[in-house]
Amino acid sequence: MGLALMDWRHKTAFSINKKAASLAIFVPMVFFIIWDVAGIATGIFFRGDTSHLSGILLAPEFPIEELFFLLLLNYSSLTIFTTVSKVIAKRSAK
Amino acid sequence: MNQFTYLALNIVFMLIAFVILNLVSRKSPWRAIGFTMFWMLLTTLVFDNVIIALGIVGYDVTKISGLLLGLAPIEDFAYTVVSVMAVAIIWTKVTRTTK
Repeated sequence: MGLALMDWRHKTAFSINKKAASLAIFVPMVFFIIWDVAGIATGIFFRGDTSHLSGILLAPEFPIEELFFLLLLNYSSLTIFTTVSKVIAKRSAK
Repeated sequence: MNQFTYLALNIVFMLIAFVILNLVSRKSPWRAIGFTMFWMLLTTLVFDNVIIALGIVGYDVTKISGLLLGLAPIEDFAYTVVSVMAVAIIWTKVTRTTK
């Protein structure tokens, strides 16, 4: 939510180029889901038994929150990246 | 299969990611990626420690290296490294070709 507001206000991702933002966020997301599933299948990590989670599971040990986390991870990367790129471009233009 | 560690898992997925990204683009904006990486790793350090402290995620202690930053296994940072590189490279590639 906060990221989407920043996006609209400062033109960081979807507001610049919808296609590029979608690809940059969702392609890695699919990759991370496969990575997660492999980690769960090999028993490396698992969902905590806690009331902080909604309890909605998309697969064994794969809570719906994981999707939001992966979205947040990539959306944050993109927001910071475009912002950093702008700063670098501005500085080198001086 | 059950001896497969978090580090081994990461090596496999990071290799796949880097090979694919290398095919996507050979001209990456490394300076911007570097700064983004720094901020994202810091953010991950905080976020990961919080979700582990709250018991939202758990790890099999026999499968992680035991190298921790706070409560966070060092292996978790592989996600951030791949995220920053993949997002930056795909974004750069697509914005270059769709303008």
